[in-house]
Amino acid sequence: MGEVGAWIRLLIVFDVVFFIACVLAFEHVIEE
Amino acid sequence: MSGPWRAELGRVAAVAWKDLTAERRTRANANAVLFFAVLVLVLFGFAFGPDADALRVAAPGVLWLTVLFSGVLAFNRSYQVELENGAFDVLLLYPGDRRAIFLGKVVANLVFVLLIEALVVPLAALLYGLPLLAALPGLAAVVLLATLGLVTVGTFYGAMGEPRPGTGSPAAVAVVPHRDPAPRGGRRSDDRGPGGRPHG
Repeated sequence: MGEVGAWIRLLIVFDVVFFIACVLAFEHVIEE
Repeated sequence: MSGPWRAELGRVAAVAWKDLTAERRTRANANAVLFFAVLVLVLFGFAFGPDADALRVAAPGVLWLTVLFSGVLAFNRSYQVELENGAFDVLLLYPGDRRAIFLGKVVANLVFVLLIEALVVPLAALLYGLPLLAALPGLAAVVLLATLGLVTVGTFYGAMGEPRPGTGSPAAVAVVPHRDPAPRGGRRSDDRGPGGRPHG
């Protein structure tokens, strides 16, 4: 479970970062 | 919950419901993606041959490649249907924050890809001889998180590049290198080599 837990933590951080970045950038992308 | 937030959530739900209803009625995307996913699983099975150990070792990677390729197909399609008859321009004219469109599409794509995975994961366990029930709690969490990341980035890149009806958007090229940690994390977390040693 240790390795799975480590990957889950990494995925949570990765998902949060990319989710916020994509939501913020979407409006600029469709304006272009 | 305050009024503006409730209104935004209503818009997100409306966009997601629209996409899911269109998919439920036509099933064009579901049929293509599901057929493609099964084809990839079977073809990789043929490629690795009848060695049961080799199949088990390769199974996590094959499973995540299948999910990745199937997802990219689904993301492209979710924007292509909007571009027919200029529907996306009309969608942009609706009042409210445009982020609701993105979030609605993320929700719809997430539901769609999770449904595909609900069929693909047991099929992969069957074809490749994986002990699905023993790994289910950790695998379910990893699948959910990796799928959320994949869908978020895939939906974002699907909107880029001004795709036109009948053509592919650059999502297929753009998502794969940027989204490496999700399938890699999914693969590594449920991957054990012979003797329980993780692969490097």
